[in-house]
Formats: sequence, C-alpha cells, structure tokens
Amino acid sequence: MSQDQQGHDEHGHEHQQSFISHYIFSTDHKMIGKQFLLLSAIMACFGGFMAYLIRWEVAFPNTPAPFFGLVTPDKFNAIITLHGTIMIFFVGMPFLSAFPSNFLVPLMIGARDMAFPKLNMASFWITFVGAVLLVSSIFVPGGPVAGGWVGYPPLSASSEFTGVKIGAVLWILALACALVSSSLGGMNYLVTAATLRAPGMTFNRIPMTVWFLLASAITFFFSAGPLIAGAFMMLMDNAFGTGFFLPAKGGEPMLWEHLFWFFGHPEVYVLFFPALGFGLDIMATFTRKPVFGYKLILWCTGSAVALSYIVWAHHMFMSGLNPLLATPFSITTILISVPFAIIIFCMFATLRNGAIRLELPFLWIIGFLATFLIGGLTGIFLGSASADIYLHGTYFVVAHFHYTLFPSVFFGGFGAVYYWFPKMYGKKLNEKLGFLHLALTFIFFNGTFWPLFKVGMGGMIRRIADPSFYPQYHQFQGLNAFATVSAICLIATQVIFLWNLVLSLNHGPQAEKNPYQSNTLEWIADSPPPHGNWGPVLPVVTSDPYEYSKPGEAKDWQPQATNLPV
Amino acid sequence: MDKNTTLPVLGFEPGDQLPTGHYSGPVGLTPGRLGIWALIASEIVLFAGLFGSFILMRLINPGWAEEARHLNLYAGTLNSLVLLTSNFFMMKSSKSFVEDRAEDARKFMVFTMLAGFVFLGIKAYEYSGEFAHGEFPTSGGFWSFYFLMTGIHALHILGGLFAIFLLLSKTRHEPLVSLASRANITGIYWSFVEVVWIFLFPLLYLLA
Amino acid sequence: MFEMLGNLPEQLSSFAGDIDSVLKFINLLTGIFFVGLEGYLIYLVVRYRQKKGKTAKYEHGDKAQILWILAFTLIIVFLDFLIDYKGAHVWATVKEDLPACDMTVQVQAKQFDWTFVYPDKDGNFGPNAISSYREFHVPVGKKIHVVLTSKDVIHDFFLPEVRLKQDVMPQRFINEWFDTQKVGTYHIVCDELCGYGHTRMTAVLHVDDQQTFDDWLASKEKEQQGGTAQ
Ligand code: HEA
Ligand code: HEA
Ligand code: CUA
Ligand SMILES: [Cu+2]
Repeated sequence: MSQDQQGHDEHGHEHQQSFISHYIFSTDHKMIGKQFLLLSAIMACFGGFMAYLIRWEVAFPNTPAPFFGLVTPDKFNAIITLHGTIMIFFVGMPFLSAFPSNFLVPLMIGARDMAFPKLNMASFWITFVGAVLLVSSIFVPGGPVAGGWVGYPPLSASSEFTGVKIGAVLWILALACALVSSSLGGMNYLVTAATLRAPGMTFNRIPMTVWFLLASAITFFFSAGPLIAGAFMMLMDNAFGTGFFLPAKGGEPMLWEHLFWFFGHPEVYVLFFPALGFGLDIMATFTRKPVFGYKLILWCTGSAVALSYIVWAHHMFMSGLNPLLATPFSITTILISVPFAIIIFCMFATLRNGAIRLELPFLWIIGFLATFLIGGLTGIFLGSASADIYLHGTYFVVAHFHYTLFPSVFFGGFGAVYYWFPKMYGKKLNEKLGFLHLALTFIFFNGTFWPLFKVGMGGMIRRIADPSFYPQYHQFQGLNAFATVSAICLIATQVIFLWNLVLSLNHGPQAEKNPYQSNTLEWIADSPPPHGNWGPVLPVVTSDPYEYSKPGEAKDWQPQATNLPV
Repeated sequence: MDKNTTLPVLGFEPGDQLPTGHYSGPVGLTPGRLGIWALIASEIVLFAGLFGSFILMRLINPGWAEEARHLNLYAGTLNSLVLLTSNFFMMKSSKSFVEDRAEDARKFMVFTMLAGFVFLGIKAYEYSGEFAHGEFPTSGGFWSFYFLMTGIHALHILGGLFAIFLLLSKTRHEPLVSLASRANITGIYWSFVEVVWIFLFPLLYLLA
Repeated sequence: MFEMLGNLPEQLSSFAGDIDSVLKFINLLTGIFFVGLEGYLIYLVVRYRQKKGKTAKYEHGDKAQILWILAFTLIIVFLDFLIDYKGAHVWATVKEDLPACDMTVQVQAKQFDWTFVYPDKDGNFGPNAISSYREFHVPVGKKIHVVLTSKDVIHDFFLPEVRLKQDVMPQRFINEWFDTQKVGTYHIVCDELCGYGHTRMTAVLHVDDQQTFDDWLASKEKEQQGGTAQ
C-alpha cells in the first residue's frame, strides 16, 4: 500500500499509466473481483432487459414493447437465446463464481494474492472479450443466434435453417471464451487454496464459502472439456461447413446434446454451490453459532459433485435416447435430493438454538432458502422420467429453473454483496434501501414465477413468441399478464440496488474493520484490504472458523487468527 | 516477516517486497506444478470429450475404417518417432537446468523445438497430400474428425513450442536454477502433448 | 402447489391417468415437504431471534441431532425410490414397450408443419400412401403406432391431452404409440425450438368414431388420386 502511494508521488507525471495498471490491467485479486462484479452488473442489465422483452411478448403478443418495438418471432428466438446465454455465462458465472472466488478466496485463506495473478487477469479479459462478442452479435448482418441457449443442432449448426451465420459463430466464440476463462479461473482458485493457505489454516478450518467456491470450480473444471470439444465442432459446422452435427452430412445431433448436457447439468450446480457457501457463512455469523455438521456438509457436497456427472440425460428423456436408459438416469437424478436435503437440514440445525440477528445479509439468505426449496422440489417432478413426458418443454421447466437459478444467483449473490460490501469498499450500504430491495425482490420474484408453474401444468410450452395463436392458452392470459407485470416490477426494483451502490460508494458511512463481529480471516484485514492484504505479517490461524458463543468466553466470537489486531 | 515464506515471489510488481503467502500445499509441489497438473486434468477432459465423440461416431459408422486407410501411415509413424525424440531432448534439457549446465539446456531446447517444427512440417505435408486427394474437413465425418483432432493437437504443439521459446529467451537474463521449476513444468506439458499423440495416432491411423 | 394440478388438460389416452397419478404423487410428497420445511424455517427464524440475555447454543453437530438428520434422510431415500418405482412402470408402458397396434401412421415434421401419412391399402408407405397436412385423424379406442421423422431440424411431437411427447429427430424413425378414449378435436404442438416459425407449428388431432374416420380416409384418398390424375 505504502509502496503504491510512493509510486504515485514519485511518478506523478505517469499518472495515466498507473491508472491503467491499477484499474484496468490490474493483477490484484480484489480489483479483478470487482471487475467481474462490474461486468456482471452490466450484463445483468442486458439480460434483464431481454427478460422484459420476453415477458412482454408472452403476455401481450403482437403489441410493440415500449422502448423496443415489436418483438417478431425471429427476434423473440434471438432474445431468449441471448437472455439464457447472458444470464448463465455472463451474469451467473462472473457474479456468483468469479467475483467472489477472486475477492474472497485469498482473503479467507490468508494469502496475499492468487497463485497466478497474471493468469487471473487474463481470465477476466477473456470473459470480457466473450461478452463483447456476444453483445456485438446483435448488430451483425443476419442478427444474433436464435437456436436457444442449448444450441441444439441442426438448427444451430447451419445457417440454412435460421439464416443466421455470423451471429452463430460469434455466439460459439463467446461461449468458448466463457468456458476457457472459467477453466483458467477455476485452476487458479484450486491451486491458490491448495498451496497458499496461511499457517495453521488446515483443511477443517477453511470457511464454507471457500469450500463451496472450490466445489463449484471443480464441478466446472471436469465438465467443461467435452463442451469445449463440442464448441470446436459446432464452430467448424457453422464456419466451414463440416457436418459433425448435421445428419444430412452423416453427423449426429444427439452427440451435441450429450456433450452439452454433460456440461450443462454440472453447470447448474456451479451456479448453486457458491450460494450455499455464502449462506452457511452468513448464517453462522448472524445466528452466532458454529455451522452445524461441517464435515457432514462437505461429504454431502462431494457426493453431489460426483452425482452431478451422471444425471445429464434427464434433460434428454424426450430426445430419442434409448428408453431403457431413462430409469437409471431418473434414479440418479432424484437421488441428488439426498445430499441437498442433508445440507438444508444442517442449515436448519444451525438456525435452531441460535441468537439470530435479523440483519440484511441474513434475510437475503433466508429468502434464498425459502425460494430455492421450491425450485429444488419441483426438480423432482422433472427428474421422474414419466412425469417429464408431460412436463418437458413446458413453462413448468421455465419456472423450475428460475426458482433455482434466481435464488442462487440473486438472493445468494446479493446476500454476499450486502455482507462483504463493507470489506470491498470500506463503505456501508444503506440499510433502508437494502430492506426495500429485499422485500420487493422477494414479492415480485414470486409473483413472476409462481404463476408460471400453473401455466406450465396447464401445458403451455416454452419458447413460443405468440401464445395468442393457441386457443388452449387463452385461459392463461391473466396469469401471464400478472407474471409480466411482476417481472417488470422485479426488474425495476433492481434500480434501487444500483442506486444504493452509487449512493453508498459516494456518501456511505465509513465501515469498521469487522462490522458483524465475524471470525473469518477477511475481517482481520483493513476495509478495504490493501495490496497484499495483510501488511508485513501473515495471519496465523489458531482456531476453527465458526467459534461463536463458546461457553466461558467473554465475547461471543473468536477470530480465526489471533496474532493480528482485529 | 513470516519465517515460513520460502517461496519465490509470485506475481508482484518489482519493488513489492511482499511474499505471496505461506506455502501450505503438499510437500514438493509448487503452485506452478500443481497448476500444470490441473491444466492437464482439464485438457484430459477435453480430449476425452473428443475421443469419446470420435469412438461413438466410429462405432455408428463402420464405413470410416475404409477412409482411415487413406491416411499416410508412414508419415504418421514417422511423426510419432519425431515427437518421442523431441520429448527425449526436452527431458535432457530439464535435467541440464537442475544441473546448471546452461549450454546443454539451451542446446537441447533448440533440438526440442526443431523436432517440434519437423512434426508440424510433416503434418503439413500430410495435410497437403490429403487436400490433393480432395479430402477436406468437409469431406465427411471421418475427415471432419481427423482434421479437427489433429488440428487441435497441432495447436497444442504450437502452444508448447511457444512456451519453450519463452523459456529459452529467459535463460539469457536469468540464472538457470531459478528457472528449473519452470523448465520442469514446461517439460511436463510437452510430455502431455506427446501422450495425446500416442492416443491419437492408433485411434486415427491404426484402427483401419 | 396443490391447486395447479387442476390445470391439467383432460385425459384422452389410457395412460394419461397413469402419468397424472405420478404427478399427483410427487405433488403430494413435495407438497408436504414444502409446507413442512417452509413452516419450520419461519418458526426457527422467529423463535430464535436474538433476545436479551440469551446466547446461542455452542454446538458443532452433536451425535443425537446428526442421527436424527440421517434417519430423516433414510425416509427421503425411501421416498425417492418410491417415486422411481411408480414412475418406472408408467414409463415402461408409454415408452419402452410398443404394444400390438391397430394402425401405423407416419408423422413427418419439417420447418414448419406436420404431415401425417397413412399407409395405402396394402399397408405400405409407397407412392399410394395417403398424406394429410396438419390434420391428424385417428379412430377412437384404437391403438395407434406413430413413426416420427423430421426432414430438417429437431421438432417435438406433443399431444397434451394424450400426455405423449417425443422429439422428432432428423433422418431417424422413432416409434411411439398411443390410444384415445373419447371423440373430439385436440391439440398437437411442436415443443422444440425449430426456427422462426416454431411458434405457429401446430396441428389438430381429430379423434373420430370408426365410421367417420373411414369416410375421411376414403375421401382423402379420392382427393389425392384426383390430384395425381390431373
Ligand atoms: C441452479 C440451478 C439448478 C439447480 C440447483 C437444479 C436442481 C435440480 N434440477 Fe434442474 N434445471 C436447471 C437448473 C437447476 N436445476 C435449468 C437451468 C434447467 C433447464 C435448462 C433448459 O432446458 O433450458 C433445469 C432442468 C431440469 C430438468 C430437465 C427438465 C426438462 O427439460 O424436461 C430436470 C429433470 O430431471 C431437472 C431436475 C433437477 C433436480 C432433480 C434438481 C435437484 O438438484 C434438486 C435437489 C433439491 C431438492 C429436492 C430440495 C431439497 C430436498 C428436500 C427438502 C428433501 C425432500 C425431497 C424429496 C422427498 C424428494 N432440472
Ligand atoms: C441466471 C439465470 C437467469 C436469470 C437470473 C433469469 C431471470 C429472468 N428470466 Fe430467464 N431464462 C434463463 C436464465 C435466467 N433468467 C435461461 C437459461 C432461459 C432459457 C433460454 C432458452 O430457452 O433458451 C430463460 C428463459 C426465460 C423465459 C422463457 C422464454 C421462453 O421459453 O419463451 C422467461 C419467460 O418468462 C424468462 C424470464 C425471466 C425473468 C422475468 C427474469 C427476471 O428474474 C429478471 C430480473 C432482472 C434482473 C435480475 C437483472 C437486473 C439486475 C440488475 C441490473 C442488478 C445487477 C447487479 C449485479 C449483478 C451486481 N426467462
Ligand atoms: Cu417445429 Cu418447433
Ligand atoms: Cu439437470
């Protein structure tokens, strides 16, 4: 820190350059984390706007959407594709995985930086390039890709079926960037946590957030390869006219489905694990209790990771897969409820007998649990192959995955942002605005997606631009309109959050080092932590992360490292 | 300052005296080595995806056996030998790093790179032969896979060559011992690229 | 959660009821967990909020409580397999075993419409086969064998009232079957994104009594022969 400031003083005339190395090509893990946060916020605005267009078109087909115009069927297809791709790869991944992994992993294990800071910077810029490619595909001739975020061939593998060529190539390249960047990132988090822990930070003293971020990275790491291979094939099909996935040229579309879902299913847990990690840490802090069943939770996470690789075909029950495979895949799929049930029970046991402080981050986590439970339970409907005969491809699936993704990415993610914001910027977020944001998000989120379960049960199918064309769906007009109005309110609510960010960054009260009397190492560092995080002396870890309310102690918390002032 | 910080400084701007942290990984593993193994693990999954797809499609299409016979088996075999030799040189070079013999280290690295380029040259010769016969990536499933897989492998060779080149240029201003770990990592990567070829070669050329 | 099952379309096929019963069963189980766990969550948060003079209990996971959790988990494992067991039967009826059918119809999908091809008098799908565009007529009460194929991209053949759904793959022939129990007109939709016309790729399922069906087929045949004679 003092080094940096000296640098500024001595080379005042080189200020331009140091701005670039500080804010843009920074190798500091905290800055890179913040860059990922900013990128995901920008992309969330795109994804959110597209969600608005989707909802508008579904509820009020053939009426021009305000701020956009008429959503024609080809535009609609492009919009859902971009919405899905952006939300998963350019909001979910950066916001839930890259941003916290970068910001928190070194801080929570007591390292000074990532193991490979340059690689870390590269992984941000690769994601950035991917995001730019994807957004720029909106403006190329032929328009952006329109084959759904799952990109099933032949539709997505040849311009002959959609008229989209450049857009499809850009989409694949963007996907590849996201995959490569997250692989590099994952490697970095793993190596960092394996090799750079502070003295005394043994495996059973690692906070849950770190464990779950690692679980997420590992899950990603071993599933992305096949899809990268598939992306190469898809790229060649689109750009050079090969026929890997085109039956007319001897190819096999099912191959892509397998490669995609072998990645795709683990990917949804990649976007779920971090939220569990934040949840456990935040719960421990605000219940003033140790996390219940630390080891048990880790075993369950491990088995969930393992199981996640052998369930992918539940997305393909209707694809013409050998029907004899459906039952085995149903069994593995439904069995995943077991580890997650145990984790959720452990969370409940953590709440039990606690002295719960109803503060903002905690309430976000309760919101996450309450809503995710619905998403998880509705997954069981889909996991049963016979029920999926009816439900596959309906709005029930849409409701299911928004009830899993939105709670993880936004309830879990916002919980983390509200919790760690003081550490990140040394400022406090405005509480009143925060509560308002939470309450409205909770109400409008349920208002948006709860009706969609009913609509889906009624048989309304996904990915149609014009429900009014189907007389049997006219009965759902009311529900759809209700969902749309809620969705618009939900998106508008997020402005409160952005406003809160801007307001608090500029005028927020100064945050203490450790505003919640929390134990984990990051609260020992200054807010915000300086370059190198710890000053001259590394923290020496002397206790478990969750030693709250230990009987016979004067205070109800015990920092993990005692050699540094808190 | 913590007594336990024995690691070389990683990723800090010059002038920064702060060590990255306390090394707490498994004994004998540097972050670099762990990193390269992690990278290789992810590459294995990638190639597993490719190989798996190829084998699957190969089983569906028995006709591909006939097309595989059009490959240049001699060039392929020769290339396997070339890669083996190049690996041998790289091993020699890594060893010279540890033993601090700069001349040898450089010499063997140059040999490694030469062999690598010979490999690429032979590959290019094969490609041109195939193009001359009218076999392009678009000439059917087998050829798509053949060009894709060998192409991706060739990209890895290029990447490896680039890494070796960087290492070579570093030996000009840095003492060998401080580069030994890096040489080791580069060597591991280079062997991995070789191993991939060892699987690729029979799968494409011999399974006729 | 419970009332949404009321939205299910009517049950047309003999197995529609089976599929619905799986849905109802899962709905019941998950419904119980939903109500129980949400209720418990609210209870915990309200009951254990911070009060003066009370501290949290210091516990890492005592044996008794963990055993409780694991015992509860056993119940869940049991319920999981119960769901699998119930579902496997239904799946086998609908998707695994192709029963002896009274009639075979080829369903051809292409961007963006459906063609239903009926065999000629000799049961062949040769040049004399009768094709019907966007209208699928079947005789009531009969078991229909459908052979699904696509000319271009993946489509999906979805008959909501029958509870039958199957992706239609290009250049493959996928065999499915269904039967009907009531005369009427029902819906066919394409449930896989297949391009800009996907949103309008529908067809109509006419379940006729045998007489009406035969008449329709005969008239279709005549129409077609007239068409080729010209
Ligand atoms: C964060 C994301 C996330 C998460 C966590 C999940 C979790 C689960 N999902 Fe979901 N899913 C998606 C995101 C996610 N999903 C997405 C994005 C899609 C669609 C992609 C597309 O097609 O575009 C999808 C689609 C999808 C399908 C395919 C549907 C179809 O297209 O036909 C299926 C089918 O099996 C499924 C099942 C499950 C199951 C069984 C779980 C389980 O992991 C849930 C386990 C948790 C619980 C069950 C709750 C806790 C347990 C208890 C409280 C115990 C009581 C339980 C019992 C009695 C059983 N999901
Ligand atoms: C993480 C994933 C994610 C998220 C959060 C969302 C959020 C939303 N989604 Fe989306 N959705 C998908 C993933 C996601 N979706 C996927 C994968 C598909 C499938 C695509 C396909 O079929 O191919 C899909 C499809 C899909 C459909 C079905 C389209 C169809 O089949 O025809 C609909 C329709 O209602 C819909 C609606 C919405 C709405 C109203 C929201 C709302 O919740 C949106 C609320 C808005 C925001 C949350 C953004 C604004 C927030 C900020 C500006 C603050 C940001 C700050 C930070 C990040 C720090 N989505
Ligand atoms: Cu055909 Cu959708
Ligand atoms: Cu899944």
